[in-house]
Amino acid sequence: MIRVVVLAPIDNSLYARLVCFRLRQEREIQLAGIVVRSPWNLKRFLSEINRDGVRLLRKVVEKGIRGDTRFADIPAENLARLAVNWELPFSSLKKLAAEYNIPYLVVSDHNHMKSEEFLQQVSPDLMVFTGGGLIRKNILAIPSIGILNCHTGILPEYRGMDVVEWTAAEGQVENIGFGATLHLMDKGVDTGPILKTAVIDPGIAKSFEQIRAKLEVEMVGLMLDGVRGFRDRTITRKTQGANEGRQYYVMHPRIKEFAKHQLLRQTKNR
Amino acid sequence: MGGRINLAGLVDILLGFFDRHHTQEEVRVFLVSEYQSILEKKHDVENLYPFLGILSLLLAKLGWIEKLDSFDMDEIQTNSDLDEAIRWMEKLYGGHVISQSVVVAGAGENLDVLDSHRTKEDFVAAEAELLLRHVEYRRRKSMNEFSDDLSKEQVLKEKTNLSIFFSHHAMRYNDLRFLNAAFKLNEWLMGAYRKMRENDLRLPFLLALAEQEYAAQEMLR
Repeated sequence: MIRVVVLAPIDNSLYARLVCFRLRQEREIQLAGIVVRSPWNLKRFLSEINRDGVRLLRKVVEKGIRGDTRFADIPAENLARLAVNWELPFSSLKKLAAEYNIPYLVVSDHNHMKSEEFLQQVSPDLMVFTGGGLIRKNILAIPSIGILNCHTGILPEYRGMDVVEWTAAEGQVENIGFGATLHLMDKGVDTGPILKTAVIDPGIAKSFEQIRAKLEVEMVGLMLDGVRGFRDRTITRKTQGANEGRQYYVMHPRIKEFAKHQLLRQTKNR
Repeated sequence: MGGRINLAGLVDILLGFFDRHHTQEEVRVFLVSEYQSILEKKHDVENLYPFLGILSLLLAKLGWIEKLDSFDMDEIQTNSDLDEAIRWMEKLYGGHVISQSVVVAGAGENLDVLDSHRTKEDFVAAEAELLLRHVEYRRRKSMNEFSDDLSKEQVLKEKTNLSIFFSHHAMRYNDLRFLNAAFKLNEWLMGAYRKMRENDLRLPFLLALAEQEYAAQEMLR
């Protein structure tokens, strides 16, 4: 039996709900706790507004207000369709936790002492990170195996932010491609040991939104495969060299515009 | 859907209003008009002749002005003293241009000189990466603290020098991440520019913008 705790960015996170729902059905996996980051936190707001600027407004509306309905405009495979296929009955992690009697905690920050105390008490073998900011040493050290994270890009080449767009902007759709990478978290940004990668066919999508939507579906599968892999002791770790990849940052609108053209140019013959 | 409030559309409108970035056309109009206004009072900026000359050359390369014969390009020299840059590098405390969020004065200018001579390449690449990370994480606050006690004007010059280094480095290594950071730095500087009265502050910023646009023209096509 492997004990797992899920860290979520917000209570209605569909990605986290799908992962929790499926983990709960797996043999020899105990979903031992769910920790959710509260959106009502000034420190979080200031940190995210510093990083995203007014684009944070879009994130708040999309994830906080529109919730699952935001997928309605996306014609490609997406998390909402997966939720329908899986007949996911829960609209929040709180409801899922209550139904299955899973310890549930809301914190202002995943690194907060309250979170640390809860996790020390639950003592998980493995933690599953589905979002909610940087994770500090105090939390990284708690699970005996580590913390799983799924990155929406190919590692080690594309670490950091907006990597779907950066891959297109740098003309690497053919060579490196779009994909998601499951890895163990360490103190760096997307620098921990790689466990598994899923590459998607860029021909299926003609916009960054569609690619991201497809990648989110892949991430659910990768995360579940990762937990099963540790349970069955079948997973292997590939250490990343510090200089193997580069870190990318929030893309400026002028480069994003260029990236859109580059995407169309690189996928037009597919 | 007639009656349905389209939240996503509303957000796009709001973001379009607040999330202003300068398009290439806006930058072109701004640069050419500022350049012409300075050129009309050329006698006031004789000591800034090199800046004006390079600016004129860049604007001509961009195809935004006719090439001006009034500048003798042979006379236009930048202060690219390699020996001085190496001495600056050797004196760096801890061997880095940034330590605990404090940037060493002269970082942008000296790294650009070393970079242009393709000297100390490993050092320049590592320090450029550190500065990039610093600017991207600390954003507007990134260039507020320097190792030396600099005046407000000197701080502005440090910022424009860093932006110029980023644009040059982006082109030299075909690395769009640095052009991305130059776009951001220059947008943050634009607010400060509006309050600048002296041409010795205005010209370096205009040059930084022109370098950004030249790099963009070369790289974003």
